[in-house]
Amino acid sequence: MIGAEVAAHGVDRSLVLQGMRKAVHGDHTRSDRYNPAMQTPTPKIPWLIMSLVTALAFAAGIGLSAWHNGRNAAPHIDGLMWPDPPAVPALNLVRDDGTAFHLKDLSGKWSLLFFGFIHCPDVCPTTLATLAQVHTALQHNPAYAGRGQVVFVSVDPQRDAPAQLAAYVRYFHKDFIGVTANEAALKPLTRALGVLFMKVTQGGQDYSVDHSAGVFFIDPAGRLVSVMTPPLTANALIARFTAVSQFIDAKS
Amino acid sequence: MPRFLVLLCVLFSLDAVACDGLALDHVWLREPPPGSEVAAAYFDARNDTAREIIIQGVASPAFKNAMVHRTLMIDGRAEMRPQGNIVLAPGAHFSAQPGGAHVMLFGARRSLQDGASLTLELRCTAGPPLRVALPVLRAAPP
Repeated sequence: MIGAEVAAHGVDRSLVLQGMRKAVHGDHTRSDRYNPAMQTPTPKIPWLIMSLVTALAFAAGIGLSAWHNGRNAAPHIDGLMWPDPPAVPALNLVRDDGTAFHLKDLSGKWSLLFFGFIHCPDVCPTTLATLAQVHTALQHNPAYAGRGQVVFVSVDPQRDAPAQLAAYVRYFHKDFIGVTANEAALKPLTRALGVLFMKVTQGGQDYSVDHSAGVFFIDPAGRLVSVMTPPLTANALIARFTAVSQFIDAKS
Repeated sequence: MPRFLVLLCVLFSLDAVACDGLALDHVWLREPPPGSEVAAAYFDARNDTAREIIIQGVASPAFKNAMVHRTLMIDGRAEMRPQGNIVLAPGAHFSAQPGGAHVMLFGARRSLQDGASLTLELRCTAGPPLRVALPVLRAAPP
């Protein structure tokens, strides 16, 4: 019975925004969000052809990977999105003090982005408390000190006004930045990063928001160079930042 | 004879048990950040008896409403869904901890500041609810 109650409760989901490329309504299969060209095989194709195709694709993959390695000489770093990290597009968001938050507010800095909402009882406070530890610890890291920021992006603009966001994020760390925007303005960012969120109503008038719970690492050139998904620990996030920032800094 | 067996089965399935013998540990409520109208509480439960224990519901006098939810991670996406009954076989353990199962509480009737002490009630198939102290903490206990 434990953990098997999802379908049985008649959850009424209304799709608010869909940042991911794949349809998600009730789709719980794994999807490779950074490889939209990957196709799901139809069951009618004979297994022999499928095996041949798989073998060829595998061989091609090895070839490509060898070629890429030769070209970029990238060391193996867990979760490094390289080459071709997605670029953050032009932004028109609102900072928690009411001023504008644009792409230039990310450039020249390392940013750890987390998406969530204020009325989120478990994942958001847990992750923001972890990020507060990370932000404090990374003040000793030369790549982060003075140019590292944690940005909490509210995906519940209807309820999370900038002033409320300010009090919320500062509760976790005085340096944290809260940003939000209406759904149309959030969409370019969520689409570029593969972030998904949707409003979920369960009976009453209150609602919850399903949301991507990863931490997104944006480099000083405004590129998404890594995503770390839960479970998240401070040590793992610090290790990921250290490895990824060393690689990016060596490139630039 | 078949009728007797059916009756026996019915009797067994209705063998309601109380929360007696349920050991609770690491019970705490995360102090809600400013502006948040929902709170999350966590606990570890262990069935120290030789019978199955089923936790059917949760409550707290400090809140209008409480239910056990589970955060599901699907493709890195967090989704909160009702947990349903918690079935504990003899010796079994259930852990509600950050990022997983949690008691979601709303409609606070009193201050939820760090250091406050509330009460958490677990309801089993029969008997009175099990009441335990629910301290409010700003950070997870060690």
